Amino acid sequence: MNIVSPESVGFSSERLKRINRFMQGYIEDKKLAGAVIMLARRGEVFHLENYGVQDLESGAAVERDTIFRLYSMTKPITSVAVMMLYEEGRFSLDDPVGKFIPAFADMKVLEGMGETGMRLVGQERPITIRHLLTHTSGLSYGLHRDTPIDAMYHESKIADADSTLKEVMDRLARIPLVNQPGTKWRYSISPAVLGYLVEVVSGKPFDKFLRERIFTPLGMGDTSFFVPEEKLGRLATAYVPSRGGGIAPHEGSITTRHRRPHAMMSGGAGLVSTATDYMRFCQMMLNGGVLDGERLLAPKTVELMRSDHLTDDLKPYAVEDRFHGYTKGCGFGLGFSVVNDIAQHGVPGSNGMYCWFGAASCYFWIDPAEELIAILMTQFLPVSWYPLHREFQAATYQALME
Amino acid sequence: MTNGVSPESVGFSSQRLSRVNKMMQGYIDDGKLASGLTMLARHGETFHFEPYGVLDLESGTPVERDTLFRIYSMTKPITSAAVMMLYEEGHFSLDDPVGKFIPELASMKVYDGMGETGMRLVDQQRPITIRHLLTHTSGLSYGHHQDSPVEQMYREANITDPDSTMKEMAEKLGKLPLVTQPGTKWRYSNATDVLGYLVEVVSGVPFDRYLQDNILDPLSMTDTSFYVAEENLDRLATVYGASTNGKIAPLDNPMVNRQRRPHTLFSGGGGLVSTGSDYMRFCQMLLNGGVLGDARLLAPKTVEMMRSNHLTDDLKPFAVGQSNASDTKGCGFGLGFRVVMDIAQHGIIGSNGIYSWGGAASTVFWIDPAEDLVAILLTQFMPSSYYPLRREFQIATYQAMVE
Repeated sequence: MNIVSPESVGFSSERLKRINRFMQGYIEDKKLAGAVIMLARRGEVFHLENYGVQDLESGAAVERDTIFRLYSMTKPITSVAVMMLYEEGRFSLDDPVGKFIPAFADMKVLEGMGETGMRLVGQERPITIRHLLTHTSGLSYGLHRDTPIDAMYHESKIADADSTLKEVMDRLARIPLVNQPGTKWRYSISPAVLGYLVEVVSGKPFDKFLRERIFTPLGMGDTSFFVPEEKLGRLATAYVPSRGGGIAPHEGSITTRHRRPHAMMSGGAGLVSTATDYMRFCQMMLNGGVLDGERLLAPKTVELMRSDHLTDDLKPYAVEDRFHGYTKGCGFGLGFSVVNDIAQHGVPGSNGMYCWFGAASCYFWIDPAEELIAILMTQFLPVSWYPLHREFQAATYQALME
Repeated sequence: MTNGVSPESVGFSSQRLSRVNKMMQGYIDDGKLASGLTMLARHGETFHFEPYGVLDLESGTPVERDTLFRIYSMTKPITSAAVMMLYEEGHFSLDDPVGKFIPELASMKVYDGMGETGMRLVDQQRPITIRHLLTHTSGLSYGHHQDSPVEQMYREANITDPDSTMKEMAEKLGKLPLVTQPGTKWRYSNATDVLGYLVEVVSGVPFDRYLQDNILDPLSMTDTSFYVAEENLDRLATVYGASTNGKIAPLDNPMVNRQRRPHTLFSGGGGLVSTGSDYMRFCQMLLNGGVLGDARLLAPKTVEMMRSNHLTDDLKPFAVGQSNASDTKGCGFGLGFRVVMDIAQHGIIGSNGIYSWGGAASTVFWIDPAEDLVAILLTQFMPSSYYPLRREFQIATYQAMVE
């Protein structure tokens, strides 16, 4: 890969060292095992640095092609798949999802708790595709505790790795919505539903659609729902805080599923990728839907995706309470957060930058005003444990000189 | 920066610009001000640099271009720049609690009204953050108001005693209640003095030393300091106030005398003395996006954030004091200065995006990114809102800009 000098794209090499210092600090303090940071401006990569090790036990160094679990950074890719089918005229954003996935047409809505349990009512208006893209469908994720609904997600094994998309959707459709569609922002399983929608509308398995229509054209050869055996040596281990201080490897279904073929292809959290692959996806977005002659989307579609779709009554929104600060000054587009007011956001950057993160602390943003893409890959859960994202953003922009 | 170009070469009319001189000379001739100095630069070139009157009525020494003025609150943007330089180095987030660095301020109580037995005090609902300090929304006050019994406590505590230390100032402040819950109201305050102490704590270097090494020396602001060296005292303008006989009289109090002698409390909110050229260099650095010549202090994106409005609608309109309320119409507040968001509401010709602040002795500066313009007015007269000087200067400046 050709890496240009920071100075040639308006960055200061001297000041960029602060990014290395800050990341190296996380590694030396044993807060993270490893990471990759990649920055590109005006289509040119000018910073690609790896830090630490993929696995503390083996001591194998992180390399530029180390594979990371993207988790929710899968969502923007699913959104792109949906919008490609939208461009083909297969549906309108305001079409009811029930038109394509009939089981969703009759979902009940939780209205409150009565003496004998949940009080359920019908949908006042149907769930639309746009609701799914903007997390306003009334679906939940199983992460909240404010209603009995999230516990039902667990009981119904919505996150099971070995169910098919169709099986998960059938189970999901039997659980009530948390609120009326369109009335609240709530982080949710909806991108997984969108993955199934892609399957239904395109007539192809979701993984095949992504491979044929997105990964192959963009040259994202290391992006998939599981790591093939010959590449397992490149997969970074996911870590969590250890009880005795420091960090320890995480062993659970959400981190082990990527090591083997499995049935559930989660459009919300399923993909593994590399910094280089994800950079190609972001560059396609920044370019208005095209990369190296491969046209995935029209510029106006990307523009709509990176516009704020939330009316004022749906803001501020928050993934969870502890994330609240980071969505300040932000709206939400079709699959990512969009900064409306950088001062309220509170970290240097530009209005109009769009970004999202993954559960293992990965982070990316695209800044159309500065033609900048930033990607941070690491494997540490939970995502909000360190102020890593805002520190990365501040360290990047303090190095942008013109 | 070069040393003087014709107004015409940067889109100003010399003839119309003479209205600035006429306005300033009028104040001198009427005996309303002893001294004045106006300085204007566009596209990085100074095109107007005029001294008026005398630096002291008794001695009759004329104001020169290198006359020293107490800039009081125009110190605040310099302190903000120092804070943001440390922010860029990754020492803290803007939303970090101040108590993390200055434990004296971690558990301040909040005034909640008067009860039967005295002040009702409650706990902080959320901690004071660095951003609260930069935007005067911390709940700290200044002791200038009359609307709360806390104000009197500020006055009695002598918060910025020039012969105390920064740490002692923090200790004194930490014992007083906050006037409001952090983040809930804009209130002009000692917050910037606290930020000066924060710079000291975070950098490990005394605040005056930090400014000297990281801002004043790199920008060649050789006449800017917390007090005037003895050999330069004859260049320091005298501060005047309104006198009972309708004239002006020199002020003699600790607030104007401290700059004449070494002292130990370096007030980030109001301590500096400077000149027109020095402050111009600081403003030009900001206008350039953080750089002047070879000296890179801040990144453009940091300056952009500093000059963005940080106040949500519920915190506006804000006002320094009752008498200045109209100065902030149509304005928001950035990280250390007022930002004009709606020039029509503001009611004085200029541009949206102008950022500015004034000093207690009637000085003012503004930076206009849209027109690539910096304007500075220095004088020494208290109180600062006594004359409509600032708006007259702004009007006279923009009416002379012809392209």
